Amino acid sequence: MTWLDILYGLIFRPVETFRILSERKPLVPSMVVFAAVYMTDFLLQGAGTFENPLAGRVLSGQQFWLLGLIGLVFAVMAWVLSAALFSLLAELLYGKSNGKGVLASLGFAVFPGVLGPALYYAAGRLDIVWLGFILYAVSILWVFCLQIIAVRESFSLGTGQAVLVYLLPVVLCIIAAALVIGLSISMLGTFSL
Amino acid sequence: MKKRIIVGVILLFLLIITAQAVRSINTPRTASGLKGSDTIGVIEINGAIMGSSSGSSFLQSSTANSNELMKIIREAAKRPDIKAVVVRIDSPGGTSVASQEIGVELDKLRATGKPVITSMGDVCASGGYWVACSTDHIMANAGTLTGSIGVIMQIQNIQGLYEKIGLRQVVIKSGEHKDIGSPYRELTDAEQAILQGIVQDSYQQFLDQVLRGRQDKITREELVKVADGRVLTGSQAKQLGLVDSLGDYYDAVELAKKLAGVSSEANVEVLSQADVWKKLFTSIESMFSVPNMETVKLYY
Repeated sequence: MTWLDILYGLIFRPVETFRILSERKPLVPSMVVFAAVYMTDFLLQGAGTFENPLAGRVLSGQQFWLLGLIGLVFAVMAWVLSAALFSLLAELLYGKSNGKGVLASLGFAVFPGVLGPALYYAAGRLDIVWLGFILYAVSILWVFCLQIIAVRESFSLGTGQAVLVYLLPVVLCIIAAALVIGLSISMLGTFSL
Repeated sequence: MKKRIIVGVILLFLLIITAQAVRSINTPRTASGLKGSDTIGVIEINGAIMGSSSGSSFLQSSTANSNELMKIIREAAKRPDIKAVVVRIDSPGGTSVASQEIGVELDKLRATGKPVITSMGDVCASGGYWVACSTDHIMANAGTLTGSIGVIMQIQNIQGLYEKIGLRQVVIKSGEHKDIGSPYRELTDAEQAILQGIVQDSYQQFLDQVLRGRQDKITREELVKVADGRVLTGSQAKQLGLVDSLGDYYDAVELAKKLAGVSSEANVEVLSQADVWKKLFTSIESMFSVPNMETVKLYY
């Protein structure tokens, strides 16, 4: 499977492409795509900030690049962590695991996400920001869908099972956050005069 | 073939948009317009003013390196599109030579006919005020801390510590005062007198600089009364004639445009961008360096 096949497949034949990716587990190309998409996304979002005269005094060009590199390190960590978490949940819930496969697939799944910021940037230049915003939102949804497909194909799950594996960490995080906020509020009440 | 065209078009689109974004990020910071048209240059002096040997750490508060600042000032003098310069100072002072060097370069910049305006930030004291005196107009915020006209020399004496750990330094010198200011022993009366003389001479230089910069705005007698190292607010300094007007950074930029006779739409470009990589490496370097306690320096 060539780069061309993968990139074309991600857009037009995602199910088949992720099935192959999860079997072949091309980790290095996946990392390259993930890093390229992250940096392009960061650049396109940052460029808008730099064109703001007031923000220009806040961050220099070099600081921007440094921030991007630091962000990339954290993004890679989050990517690896999420793949590990999905693999663990798939193993616990359905007895299926494919850590490397899901890692490679998730790396490629972010590819269409780069189109959102690019279209938003282009739309901003053409003074049709509203259209850029809609396209940005569509690209985010597209990436979500691709990630769920990636999880489904990597662990050979049904769609409902893949959605559960994908959303369970989010749901758990929301519950944990709600508990922390609830406890904090109740503590505030205890200590108030 | 169809695959090639579709993927090619997508990648080309991404490439063009990204190149445009990179260009926008790497372009010098301007408030508006294109490089080459009338521009007001902004030079930021943040932190202690130091010479080339003093680097600013990445995590510590920043220092203003006089060598870098002199280079920036000379560039501002050469560039024909820069019609005036705003020096934004937020500094408690620094070494006397570093402040003097920046002042001299600003005097040369003014000699080219380009107006130079000082905009004081939180603090513009001592060496910072020395630099401000080399500009055409000093603008401060009412609450800015300024003044602190004076000179200080501090020498650490670690003789007691050395005695406690059993260390003794052996000095072989060509003359009586060759190790003046040594931190390993007490100063002698003669040395005290020599160093006091240096401080007094440097103080006179400071007074002369202020009187040169504030001609017809403050007399020597009035200046000496407040030049005892005290700090003043921007408002007090204005009453005393040490500051010309009160206003913020944007007021200073507008004044610079007015004095340069350029339109209000002129570009504003920050000339002194922080070199983050250099700061990062200096920070790493400073972790492994040993402070040189034998260096005797004068500070404004």
